[in-house]
Amino acid sequence: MSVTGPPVMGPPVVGPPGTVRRASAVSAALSRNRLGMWPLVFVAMAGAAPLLVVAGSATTGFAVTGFIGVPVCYLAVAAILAVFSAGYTAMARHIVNAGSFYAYVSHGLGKAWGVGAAFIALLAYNALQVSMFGAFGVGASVMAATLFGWSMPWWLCALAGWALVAVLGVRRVDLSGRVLTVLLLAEIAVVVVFDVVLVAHPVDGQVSYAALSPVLLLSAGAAALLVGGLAGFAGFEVTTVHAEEARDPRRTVPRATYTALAVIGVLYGVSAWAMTVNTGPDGIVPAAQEYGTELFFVLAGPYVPGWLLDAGQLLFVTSLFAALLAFHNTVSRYVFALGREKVLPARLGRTSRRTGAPKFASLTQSGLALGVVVLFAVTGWHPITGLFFVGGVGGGFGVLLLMALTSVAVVKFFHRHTATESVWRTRVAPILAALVLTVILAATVAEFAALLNVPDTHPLRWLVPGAYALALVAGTGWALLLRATRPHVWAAIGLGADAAATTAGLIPDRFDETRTR
Amino acid sequence: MLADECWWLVHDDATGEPRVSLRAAGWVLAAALLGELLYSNRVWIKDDVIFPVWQAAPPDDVVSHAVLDQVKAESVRHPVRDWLAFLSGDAYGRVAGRLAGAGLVMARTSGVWPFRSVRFVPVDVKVSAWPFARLAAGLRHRQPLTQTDVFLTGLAQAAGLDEWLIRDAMHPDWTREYLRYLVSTLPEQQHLLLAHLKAAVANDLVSHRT
Repeated sequence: MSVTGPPVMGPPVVGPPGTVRRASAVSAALSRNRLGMWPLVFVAMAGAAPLLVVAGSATTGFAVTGFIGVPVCYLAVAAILAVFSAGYTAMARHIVNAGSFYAYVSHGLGKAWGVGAAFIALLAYNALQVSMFGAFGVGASVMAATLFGWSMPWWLCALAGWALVAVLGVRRVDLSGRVLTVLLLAEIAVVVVFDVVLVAHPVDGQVSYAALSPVLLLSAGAAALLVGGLAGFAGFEVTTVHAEEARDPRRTVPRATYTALAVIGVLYGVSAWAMTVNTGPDGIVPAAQEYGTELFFVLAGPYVPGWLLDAGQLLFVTSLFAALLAFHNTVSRYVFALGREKVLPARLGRTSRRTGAPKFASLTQSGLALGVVVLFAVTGWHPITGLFFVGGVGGGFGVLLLMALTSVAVVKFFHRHTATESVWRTRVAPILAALVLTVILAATVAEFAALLNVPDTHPLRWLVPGAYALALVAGTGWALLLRATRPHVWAAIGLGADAAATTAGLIPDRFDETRTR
Repeated sequence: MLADECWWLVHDDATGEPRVSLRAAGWVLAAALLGELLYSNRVWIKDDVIFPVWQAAPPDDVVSHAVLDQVKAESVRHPVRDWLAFLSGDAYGRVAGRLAGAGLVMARTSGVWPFRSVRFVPVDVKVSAWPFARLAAGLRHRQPLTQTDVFLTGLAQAAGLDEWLIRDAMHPDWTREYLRYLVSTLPEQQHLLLAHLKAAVANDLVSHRT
């Protein structure tokens, strides 16, 4: 190996600045690659699967809780998340590159809470991912029956989906952004068409707005349903992960987040409402209990051509599959990031040399999912009201808990750091969000039995909140143990990908106000 | 040249298949191209920003020359990470072109549209296998390595190939320790470049870009 050219003696000298000021090719090339608002909106909505939520979660919500306020709950969740996002996206500018709730909690509340939040996140996202196998299995077996006339048990379809996700996950295959966008737009189109025909055919010729009444939010059970609704929005928070890549992130990231929330919220709320219009507010619960996840298609069936119905069924399954893969990748990358920071065993932070996939993290998640699916297949527990609903609500509860923690972290963070953002974004909104989220959290815990439709004394009632309490305690405890025994690991907690460099003092600390783009 | 040797490290010495993802290879080769200029004293890094050395003689090599021209052409100075991001886009193609021009690799197209892919097959396995063999043996026997070889080791580490470099060592723990020690002896500028490279590669994984 030789290095060409004569070495320069003495210290390097910077030459005179060019007399002609040219536009920077580097800045131009880099900003060409930056994301504008709409790409970010699609990134945020990629995790959200409209057909899955409308046909799956909303109908299951009606059926299991027997409460007609599902539509207004979706709208309320969107509004609450918007308030939450005001502070959340403000913080994104200060903690670049680290992403997600774990880093924010670490910076706001301290590292011990951060690891607690990370454990909660792992539990929540795993619950959401695994729960979707229930809906996927049922959706796929129904589709196979209607389209091809094959009769298969749900768990066989779920296992097939599981195998595909496991292979794609470890081979590091992500569905490309373009494929996801096309699927998403197709789903939205189908949902909108169905909504229009449902609203155009009200039950007694009269459009009822009963299910949209805000009064419903005050009734018992509403707070709990908000949690189920929240699960449908999971994934919206990734906009901040891409903050560094966004064009003018200060404006783009919040705008993209609000836009995504508005689109998703209105779509979910209006679609759930459209179903109540068609069946009548009194008819929706029995209808949902009778048809389950088929309800949306059954209701629209008489008014739309058969191919559209088939397309909807197919999109329901593809949407579920895309969500399964997306959540699998989210979990495995979360585990990978924790493994790399050595909070979890370092083995989990290793990648496959060939594909660069976080191999062990991916396999761990797949193993867990397999265990749960097999458990449900063997015990014969219900894939929808058992796996999908309980898992979805359990996951939603975890996301809620994370968001409440994050809101408090945002308040504390801006208490210590001066910021150029408005008082609304750094103080008022986070405090408001923390209060509202805590109230919902408390109400949910109180009503968990009703939410799961089990008697008050049922063990499941305490299982979900208890699991999260345990995760929080285990996480914080583990972090404190790390502080005592492995200080270098403790030092890097929550710093993300730049951890190695920042703790070595090589890359200047980025958490200050000096870096603006 | 440094980037050529780096290319051999991140590709299979016989088939020319990439050993890492193409995105990671782009990052690593971008850092290698900057490393060439750094080691020939044509650029320097201060406060995380890359400056050209104006009075240095231009490099003989066309690719290196072009990169230096790009650094000089900027009216504002950019941080290391921005340069890595900028260069990573076409570093792969540039280094491949340089190797092909020197007759060291042959481009081979395989597959049918839309799965067509181009692979650069090494012409002489003695050349393509040499950097890896040299580094692995040096590490294994705990021999002192040259400055640029240590930097090359750092590049391999950033690409996630470090475990593979020490795979055949008799005492992997000692060898791993030695590798880390060597990389830690690099001068500050090189260290900074590698730190940014590692962060960039890891960021891709964590934030779901492949």
